[in-house]
Amino acid sequence: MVRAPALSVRNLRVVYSDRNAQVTALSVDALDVAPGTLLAVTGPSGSGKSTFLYALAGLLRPKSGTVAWDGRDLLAGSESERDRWRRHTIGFVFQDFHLLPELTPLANVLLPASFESVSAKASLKDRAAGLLERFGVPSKRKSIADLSRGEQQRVALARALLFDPPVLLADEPTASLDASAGEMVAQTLEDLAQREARTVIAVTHDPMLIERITTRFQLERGQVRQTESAKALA
Amino acid sequence: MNPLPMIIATIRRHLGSYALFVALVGIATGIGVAITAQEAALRKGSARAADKFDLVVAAPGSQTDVVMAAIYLRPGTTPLLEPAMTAQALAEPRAKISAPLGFGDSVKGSRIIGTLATFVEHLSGGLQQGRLFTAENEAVIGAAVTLALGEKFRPSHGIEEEHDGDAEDAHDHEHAVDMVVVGRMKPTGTPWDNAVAVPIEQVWRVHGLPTGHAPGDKRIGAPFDPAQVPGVPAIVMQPENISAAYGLRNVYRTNASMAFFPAEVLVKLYDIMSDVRTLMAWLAVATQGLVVLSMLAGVVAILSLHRKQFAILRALGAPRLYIFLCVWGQVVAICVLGAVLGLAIGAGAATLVSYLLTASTGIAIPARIGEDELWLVGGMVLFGLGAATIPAMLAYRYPVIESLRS
Repeated sequence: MVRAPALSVRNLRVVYSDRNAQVTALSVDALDVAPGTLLAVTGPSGSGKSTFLYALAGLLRPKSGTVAWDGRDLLAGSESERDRWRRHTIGFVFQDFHLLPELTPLANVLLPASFESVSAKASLKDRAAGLLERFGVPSKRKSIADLSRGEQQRVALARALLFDPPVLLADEPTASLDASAGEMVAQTLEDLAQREARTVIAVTHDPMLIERITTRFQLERGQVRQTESAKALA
Repeated sequence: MNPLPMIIATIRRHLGSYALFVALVGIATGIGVAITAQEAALRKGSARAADKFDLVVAAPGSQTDVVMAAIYLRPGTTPLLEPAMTAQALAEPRAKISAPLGFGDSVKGSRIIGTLATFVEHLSGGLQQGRLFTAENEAVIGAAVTLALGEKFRPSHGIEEEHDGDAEDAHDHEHAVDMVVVGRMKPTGTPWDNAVAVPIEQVWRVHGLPTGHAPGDKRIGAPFDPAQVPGVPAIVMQPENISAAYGLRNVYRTNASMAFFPAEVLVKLYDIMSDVRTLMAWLAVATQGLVVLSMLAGVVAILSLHRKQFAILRALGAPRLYIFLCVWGQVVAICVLGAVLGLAIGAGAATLVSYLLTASTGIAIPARIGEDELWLVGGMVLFGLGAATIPAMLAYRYPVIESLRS
């Protein structure tokens, strides 16, 4: 079990310039997510879902407001501190996996270790191999191109979990998968939250995934439209 | 931080393009290396070929023509030194050796040079086989001449190539005199390796000139009878010492003769060669620079396809420095591999050109990769290291969010 941090968002405004106009891409007045929550962020395309996810990871600088994990404002530290924090606290999963086809599945999983100032320790290699085994990726040495899309997404999940992060952010994790592969990924996300107490926030418009997640947060044109929760969600 | 997996992955993905970049950098570098290595080799080879020619006395005219004819045995016409001046020079007491050089005949493509046995000994530093000539019909051949010891031949007038390979025509030009090979010189790395040395008296005689001795006198070599000495294209002197060398040079700088150290001529030639080399080296450097810049443009184009990949890495926690190093490392890898390839191409090209030049001139031109070439390649690598920061900085500054959305 990991100890996930609590998320607190206050008066978050993300604005971008479109010609001469300032367009508000995201506006969230208040949101608290308890540790170990499985949260679905839903909404139509262009509603600000991905922007929200990037803001939670400290990848963008909002016009105003704070994103705090365990009370620590993300933007308070330097960029290199945020990088290190993100590496160890946040696991990222993308719709298109973004694996390197020239590397083996194991090397892909170990890629974040190459960001560290010291080379990957043997324990990390063992962990990477263990994650692949856990997610049922058939061969550690097989080329990425030989894996099914579902298997590729599971390699991406293993990569996201290399440093055992307490938070997992997933951007449309099942959108590129067929039903059974999507089901498997959805189950994995559920397990990560419910069995391992990780905070999992998934941007999705996949009805299958939305249905399995009881805590939902709906965005429309950058504004919070609706929240539904079986847990503590403001 | 270890960007190597990313660098290798990107290079593997664009292997064809990157191989082309390496080849271009390699060829551009190779051209520069070959030019500098070849020029240095040419300078060394030509200087070594002139080593044994301390002072040359000839009829007034072009010193370069005399050097080309007497030392490098290049075909050409040089005016003859007046007989009186020739006789005076051949009897010069301040010279250890004062040897006439007479040209005009050939055998099997090798030039026949009329001279003295003492000069042959001096040039070769002792013979490889046989002995020096002691009679007019004897010859000592250069190390690379295809005649055998004891083989007889008839000199042909002119150089055999001038007869266009027509055997009958060449036969018509043969002198009716039978020569025999009695010795072979050691390899000298000079055009003399492919020459046939005979007594000067023999050259004079077959051309219907006085032989330097009283009629009927069969002796060869010094002393010569001043009344019987015809003109020669050049005389090579080995003075007793340096002061004698300068003294003799002054003595034979007259209205009827010129005297010079071949090194003086070579220095002038090297000056011109150096200017040409400098120009060509700069052109090669400019080419290298343009190739590196073109390669950078190509890399930037390729990297623009990877913007999203880099943004993903940033989302996974990669520092900007990691992205910088990924790109910088790729360009540096291209430059270093291109430099190594260029060194090999340059060495190969210089060796090939040396081989061809040696085959055509007889001058041993040992092209080697030296300090100059390493500096050239090192400079190219340093330029590459610096230039690599351009695409690396571009990647460093890629906006993450825009790239993630792209």
